[in-house]
Amino acid sequence: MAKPYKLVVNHRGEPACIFRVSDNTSIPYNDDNTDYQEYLEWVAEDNTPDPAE
Amino acid sequence: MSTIKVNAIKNLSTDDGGIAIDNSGHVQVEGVQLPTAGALFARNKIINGSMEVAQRGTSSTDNGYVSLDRWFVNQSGGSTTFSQETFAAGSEIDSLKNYAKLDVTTSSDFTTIQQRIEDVRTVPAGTITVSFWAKGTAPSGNLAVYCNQNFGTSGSTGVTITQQTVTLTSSWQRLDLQFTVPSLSGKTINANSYFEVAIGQGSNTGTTAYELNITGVQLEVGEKATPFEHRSIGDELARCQRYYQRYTTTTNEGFTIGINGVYNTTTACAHAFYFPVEMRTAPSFSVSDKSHFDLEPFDQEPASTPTLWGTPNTKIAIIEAESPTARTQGFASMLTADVANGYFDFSAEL
Repeated sequence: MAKPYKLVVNHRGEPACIFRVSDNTSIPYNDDNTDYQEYLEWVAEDNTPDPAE
Repeated sequence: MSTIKVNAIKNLSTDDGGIAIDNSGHVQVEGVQLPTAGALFARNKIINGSMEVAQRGTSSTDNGYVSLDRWFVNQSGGSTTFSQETFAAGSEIDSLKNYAKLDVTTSSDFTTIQQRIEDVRTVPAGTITVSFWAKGTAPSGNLAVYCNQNFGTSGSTGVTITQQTVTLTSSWQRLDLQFTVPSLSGKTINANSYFEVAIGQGSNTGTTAYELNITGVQLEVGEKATPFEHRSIGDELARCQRYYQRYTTTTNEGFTIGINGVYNTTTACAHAFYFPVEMRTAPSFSVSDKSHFDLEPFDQEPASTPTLWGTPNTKIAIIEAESPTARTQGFASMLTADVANGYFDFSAEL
């Protein structure tokens, strides 16, 4: 079953962002970003995003 | 030094106009209320109170930030259509061109539209006035307005300011309500704090449908509602863009929108986008669909959905798009959308 979030790395293999599948959204690793806050809440509920390809 | 105590000053030859002073000492000049507290300029803490800016589109049935900028639809289990409407020419109210319609087919407690005003300190302790033009059918319990203080990430527990209700009728009327904002003394205020105002159905749990038409929303310091503070569309759009920016194609031709970049490797193209208005915080980045985009000059759809290259700052973002064909490193690249209504956007909403 596809997960709602997927990790993304850039071409250097560095963590780039978190991809929200439902609306093609790249979420930055930033504590003040509300999308990132929602992602952290989702992870806190024992969820795990799909790994980067 | 002496004091003249009167409640009005008029010209000898007319009862029109003049200066009126009410029992609290508040002053009207020719019927126009003067502020009772706060600044004379930039009094309105609400952004897009004129309902002019709708970067996401003019209508939506979804929950959240979905249509008019800065206005959050809190469906709260209800079903809504939130839309931007336009007055017929000559029928404008208070020189306002647009209004918002919240069409609620199934309601619930707290089915409202809300606006979060950045930094809870923006609205200081004391009396504030919320005013707006409205008409429609009343929600269960009548039209409610309430406010919240949110003290940010890991800040003090939020405070709800008791809701008040007003009677909504089928005719446009200017309504105003006064609230007492509690002191911030002793509060821990952290990043992402805000002051929120909500308008719609309050704590009543009825499910009856209702329709709210509203415009000219103003929240100001003081005990009296002053005239709605009109701002230019450019000023209002710029204020909205601190929180959200969308770039949309107008035709199905390429090169309506684009971001310049370079083949950073033979397949990884990096494109720099400079925000015309600095954003509140590092924004999220979205695209309408991968298939709506091309990498120029080779006119090829990206191999995967364009994403953030890394965490942007508030002034610039780097967008990575993968070329399906290897090219020479250092070639120029431009990421463009080539379908009608294709878009990319940045969101830093509260």
